[in-house]
Amino acid sequence: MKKFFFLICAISIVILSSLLINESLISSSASVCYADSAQESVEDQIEDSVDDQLGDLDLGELEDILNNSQNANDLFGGKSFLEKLASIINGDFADDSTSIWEAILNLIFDNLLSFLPIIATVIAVAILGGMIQNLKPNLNGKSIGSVIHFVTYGVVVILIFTIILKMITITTSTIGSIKAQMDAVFPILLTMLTAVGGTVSVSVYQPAMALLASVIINVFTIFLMPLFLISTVLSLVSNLSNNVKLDKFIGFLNSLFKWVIGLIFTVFIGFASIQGITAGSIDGLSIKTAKFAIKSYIPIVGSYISDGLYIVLASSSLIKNAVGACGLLLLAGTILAPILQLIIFMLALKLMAGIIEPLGDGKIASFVNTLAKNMTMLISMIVAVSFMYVILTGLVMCSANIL
Amino acid sequence: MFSSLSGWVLSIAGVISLSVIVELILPEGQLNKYIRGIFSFIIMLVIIAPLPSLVGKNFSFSDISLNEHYELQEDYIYQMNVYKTEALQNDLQRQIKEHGYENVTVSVSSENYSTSFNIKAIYVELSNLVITSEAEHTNILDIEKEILKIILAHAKVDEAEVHFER
Repeated sequence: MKKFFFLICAISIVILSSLLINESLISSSASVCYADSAQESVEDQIEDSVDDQLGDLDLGELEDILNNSQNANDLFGGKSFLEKLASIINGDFADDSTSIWEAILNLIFDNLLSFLPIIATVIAVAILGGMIQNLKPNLNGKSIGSVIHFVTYGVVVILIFTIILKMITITTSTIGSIKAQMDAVFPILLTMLTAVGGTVSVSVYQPAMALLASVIINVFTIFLMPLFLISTVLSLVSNLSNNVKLDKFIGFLNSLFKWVIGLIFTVFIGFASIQGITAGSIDGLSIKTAKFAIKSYIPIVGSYISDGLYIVLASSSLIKNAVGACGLLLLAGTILAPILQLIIFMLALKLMAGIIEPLGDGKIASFVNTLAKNMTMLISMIVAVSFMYVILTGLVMCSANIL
Repeated sequence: MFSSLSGWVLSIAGVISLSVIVELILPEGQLNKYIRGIFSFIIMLVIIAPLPSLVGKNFSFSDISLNEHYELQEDYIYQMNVYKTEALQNDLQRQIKEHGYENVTVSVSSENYSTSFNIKAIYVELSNLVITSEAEHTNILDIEKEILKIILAHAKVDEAEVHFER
């Protein structure tokens, strides 16, 4: 069930971000293919206006974040944030999609190699434990068997927990850096939205963004993360012996996690999108009609596009969408490596459980399997946060568009 | 919150480990199953121990919210308002020129420091007015009326806020 949820989330992130990127592309190319005769001059004017406005925008925080992340730097192709912004506005977007796939493949193989020693050691220990279990003298067997199990189990736990601790650090730091990106991108998006004239949208998105970046991230780090830890620790002790079983309690914790994350997700996305879409249409209307400085425009395309005011507004809305697209690219650069790492570790645990089960101890196999299930918690935490971020950015990109 | 949680988990883990160790050490016998029963009872107690304190405890929303507020980049919005004012001025002058009245200076005064772009007043200077052959009127009052019409069709501003200087 959770895997299914995660899969849907991951797929929709990819689809949504590509859609958004396409839309910003389309709107940027749409702006330049209006009237035939005036096309060149309008294009030039918009370009000039975009350059002016980009010079006024303060992107310092985002540049810092970009410089500190190697993966994001690779995704940006070594360009600075401002340069990438300008190139997206100019329409040359998908210049190096092969390099992205190459980066993903490299990440996969690097991670696989780094997990290989641990996988091998754990399997070897489990097999040895199983063999000793079978070879032990039969007299007074029960107690010795338990001790052997205890020792084998302890070694496996220590080996696996070194990596799990690393995974926990990775997850917390990833969520932290997603928050840092939100703090950098959201003010710029709100500023652009205000500049375009989307005052109603701003009044909707400002609290929604604050809610996401403070409350929801906080719930993730101070409630959901401990839930994962508890469930992991309990799954450790519950497999210590045959007599004490905590499977149902762990099941309770897991479904608590699932419900909390699902509830936050649904309520937040629901409210943000319904309010945002409504506000966006109100803004669109008011921009197009009376409320915004222009009282009536002549419905001849060439005429109104060449209006200086519209050129200023159109460039602002182009920059707004490009900032959103670049923010999403930055997000992709940040979460790609951790998510791949977590997925590969989860699969490695499943593989371990599969190999250990027929050879060695059933309890060790079930422990490793429970851990693999718990790893999806970490993955779904990162995915849920980034998904909410993507949706919010996408809504801002879609609202109050001039053209 | 976190410290009490970790204490709870540690106590569960500790009790279970203890019970397993005791089970390892104890010899086979009648007493074994009673000890096992006692330990399961203790484990249950440890698990449900923090639950009563949760009842009646007030969770306030402010515990988890950081009261974060995103500031807009005021400089940028100000600069945008300046751009918009300039663009509107140029548009109006171009429109008026297309109707045949040259050398008319339009200056738009707007609230540049507010987040939304509001026009306060529009000043039209007619002292250097040159009337070309395309013009409909030659009388200065008629010209003012027509320029007013152009401005009102183009910008959202009160009729009283359009001032003419001759």
